[in-house]
Amino acid sequence: MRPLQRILHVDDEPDIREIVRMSLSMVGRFDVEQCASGVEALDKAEAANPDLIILDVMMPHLDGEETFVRLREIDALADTPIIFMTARASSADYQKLRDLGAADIVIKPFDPMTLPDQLREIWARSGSA
Amino acid sequence: MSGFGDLGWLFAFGLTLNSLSLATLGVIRTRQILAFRDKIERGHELEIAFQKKALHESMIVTVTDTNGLILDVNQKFVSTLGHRRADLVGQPFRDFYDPEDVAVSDAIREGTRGGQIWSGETRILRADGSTALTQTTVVPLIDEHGRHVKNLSMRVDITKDQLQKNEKLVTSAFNNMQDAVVVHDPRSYQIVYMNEFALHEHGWTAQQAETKALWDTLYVPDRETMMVMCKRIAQDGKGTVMLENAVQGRTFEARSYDIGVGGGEPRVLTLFRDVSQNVKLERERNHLVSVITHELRTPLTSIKGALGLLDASTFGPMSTEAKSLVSIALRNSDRMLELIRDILEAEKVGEGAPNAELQPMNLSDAVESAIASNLGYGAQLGIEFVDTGNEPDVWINGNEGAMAQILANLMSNAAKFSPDGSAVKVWARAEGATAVLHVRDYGNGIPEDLQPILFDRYTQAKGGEPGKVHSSGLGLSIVKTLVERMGGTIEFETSPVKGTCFRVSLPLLAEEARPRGSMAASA
Repeated sequence: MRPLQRILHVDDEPDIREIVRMSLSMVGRFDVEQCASGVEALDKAEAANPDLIILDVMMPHLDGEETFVRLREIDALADTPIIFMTARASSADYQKLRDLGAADIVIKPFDPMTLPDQLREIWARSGSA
Repeated sequence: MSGFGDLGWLFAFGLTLNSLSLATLGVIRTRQILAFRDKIERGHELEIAFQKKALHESMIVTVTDTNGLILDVNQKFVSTLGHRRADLVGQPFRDFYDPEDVAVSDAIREGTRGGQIWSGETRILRADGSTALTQTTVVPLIDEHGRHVKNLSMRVDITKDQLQKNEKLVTSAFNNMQDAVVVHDPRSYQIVYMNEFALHEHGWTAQQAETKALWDTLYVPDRETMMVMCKRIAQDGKGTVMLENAVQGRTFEARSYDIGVGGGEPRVLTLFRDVSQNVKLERERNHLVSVITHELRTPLTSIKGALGLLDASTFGPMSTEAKSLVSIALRNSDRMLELIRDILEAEKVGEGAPNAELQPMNLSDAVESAIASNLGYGAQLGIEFVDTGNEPDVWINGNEGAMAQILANLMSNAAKFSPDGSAVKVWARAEGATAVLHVRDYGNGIPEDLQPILFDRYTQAKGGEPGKVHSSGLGLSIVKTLVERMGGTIEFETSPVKGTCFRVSLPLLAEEARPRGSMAASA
């Protein structure tokens, strides 16, 4: 079983990018690539060749949902598990993201000490392992 | 007003006949009366004949025996009430009273036996089953030996007057309303009535309104929505819809009622209320909720994340002082998060969102899993959650998510008001046909002044355990709403010595309604 290694994280909040970077690289020992917008993600995703993508939902210009749809159009990323990270709390919001095809949803605020394990679980469940 | 007069029978009879006939012929002028008096002098026969004529033409007259059996009725009785004379004579008159007035009929019969005159309003059944309201005078007739032999009743049909009086009252009430009232014919949607408020809004006269259809009003921009409601009214007799007028930017709440058959025609009354302001406030509130969710949670994510990494000593060991400071900051960011969660939850519950689906669930299992998932929280507050007395297989029709929320709120509440090292007991038990959930603490009880408002929003208790009481004052209000949505009730017993016990009572689910194999599964 191939372990989860390369993660692409997309969020427009620099502070959250910093926390996620520390959590994933220092606690989880993953290779982390980060983007500050959906547009940047579309630009870099294919070359980054991630095992898993984490997308913030509310981003200016190109939001998480739109970025999701566009990423799926890239052949190399068509089957890459994509996780949404959101501060929105309603079950209707969650359902919408699941219907879109999200592998899972991580709710903000998250615990940086347990986030890596959470991602490994989702990775194992997604069948990509 | 009704009742017996205190006049003597003989005097009363003569006087009543005179005054009734005179009163009825209100147009008769004094001169004519004087002329009648002349006639009396010339002979009584003419007068009596006139009185009889006047009486019979204007009044519904009935003669009954002392037991209330009808001996005779006049033509006016037949023409006004529609019964045939042959169906009346020999029958008890009480059978023709409106069922609600039968007691009145009996009282009249008893009273007249004692020689008293009765006057007041009585309701008599027409042949078509409807009721006529009559102004009535009943006079006992006495023979030459002083025996009560018959009763003479004289009635005037005042149904129409009463209807007009009622109509005036209703119309005046409608005209004083600050909502639009429209009555239409559900077959043609033609307007038959509009109150003054609605007429003023449209700049129509009452006559103009009667030439319009429901669709012509500014309240109904969306014909289809209204049609859906009209179908509902035909089915249920009433219905409510929201109508948005995009052109005017106004929103109306329309409540319609089938008001039955007025004047032989079907009628639907609709109350249109302008709720634009409420809708605007609702949107603003939703926006605020969204701001709270996103704009507050996002920075909190960074604060909590940064502190979490520090607290776990990811970057090497910290001094005791530094660790203590980080833990203070972390604890307070948790408080803030809890507050946000409570506000969101209360908003969600307060919105009156459609009832979460209820399905059979095992309350005893919900207790166990709530204890398991709150153990850590209890330990933080120095208390232990225990399930002493939790009976197995107490089933209810409930919602698991809502029940988890109820348990979490009651348990955290109890923990906050418990002294260090004490226990909080949580258990479910079947009591007759009721499933009762208990959450008991051994704290100082609920202060008396808070008890009546304990379930109100933003009620916060003081005097709990130092350092433990961080409350938004929303938890118990959420609990009460959720319990009521599941058809249950909540109450509490409290004492400064024994602590507090909350009891949530819900209908116990009968064994046959539980899912198959539920006993074996939980055994």
